[in-house]
Amino acid sequence: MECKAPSDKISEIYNALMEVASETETVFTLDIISKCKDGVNPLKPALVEAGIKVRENGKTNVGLGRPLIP
Amino acid sequence: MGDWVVFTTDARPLDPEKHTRLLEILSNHNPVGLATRRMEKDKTTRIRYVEGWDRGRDSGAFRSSTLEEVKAMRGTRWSSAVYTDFEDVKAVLKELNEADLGISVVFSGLFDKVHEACREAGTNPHTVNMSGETFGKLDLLPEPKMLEITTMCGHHMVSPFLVRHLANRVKRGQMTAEDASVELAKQCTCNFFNVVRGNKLLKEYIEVTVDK
Repeated sequence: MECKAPSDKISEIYNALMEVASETETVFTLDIISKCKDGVNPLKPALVEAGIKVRENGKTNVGLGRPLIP
Repeated sequence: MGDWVVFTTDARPLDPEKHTRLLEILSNHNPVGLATRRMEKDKTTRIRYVEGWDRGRDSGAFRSSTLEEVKAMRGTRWSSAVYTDFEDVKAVLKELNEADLGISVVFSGLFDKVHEACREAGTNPHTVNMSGETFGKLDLLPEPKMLEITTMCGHHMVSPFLVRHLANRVKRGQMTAEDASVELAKQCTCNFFNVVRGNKLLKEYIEVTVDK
């Protein structure tokens, strides 16, 4: 499942997942994708505030791509 | 020991010369895994190099290639490489940035380190994909030491049952941990499994839990 949401909804989404997790018969994980601003992940403070633990490793698009049609 | 994966996928074909240069750069800095894929109209060809996997260890559908064979493949649109040393990762990113191929590249590894490599290479991270928590019936998961091995394949193609089986064979002296790690690496057809780290983790796993 994928969804796009404003960053101020993170806490609400996380709480909903926690609720579902207590009822589910299987395991699921949470991935969060964020566009960087001036090389910095702007979502990090919001994640800390919401109490969401993210791993210290993950995928980074290092910004080398260029548009095919300029 | 580090675990770094560098990969790239094109939505549509780009200049083939750029891909040739990309593969050259990826292979220049001691990869322990290198793979590429050529997509033609009705056929996809994928070839894989894994350190320690030679033709004598081929089995079933799993076929190995040398570093030179992967590097020499033409008409590719997807490539990946695996590294264990951060200095190599920094060198790859620096060379890619200087080559200015325009190909979108993703680095998987510790965020702080990858971002440090970006700063040193003179590029800015564009997007991050973070792995959050795991929810649900966590008692269904294998033990953490096992997950360290199996999650090196993001599609979980490396079965915990195979890890246990191979760990027991190593423990009984029927095969080496190096060979067992190659067997595990074969299962990860995207070729992201770090065979050198796999060897280290397998030995650690054997020390703490075998025949259980």
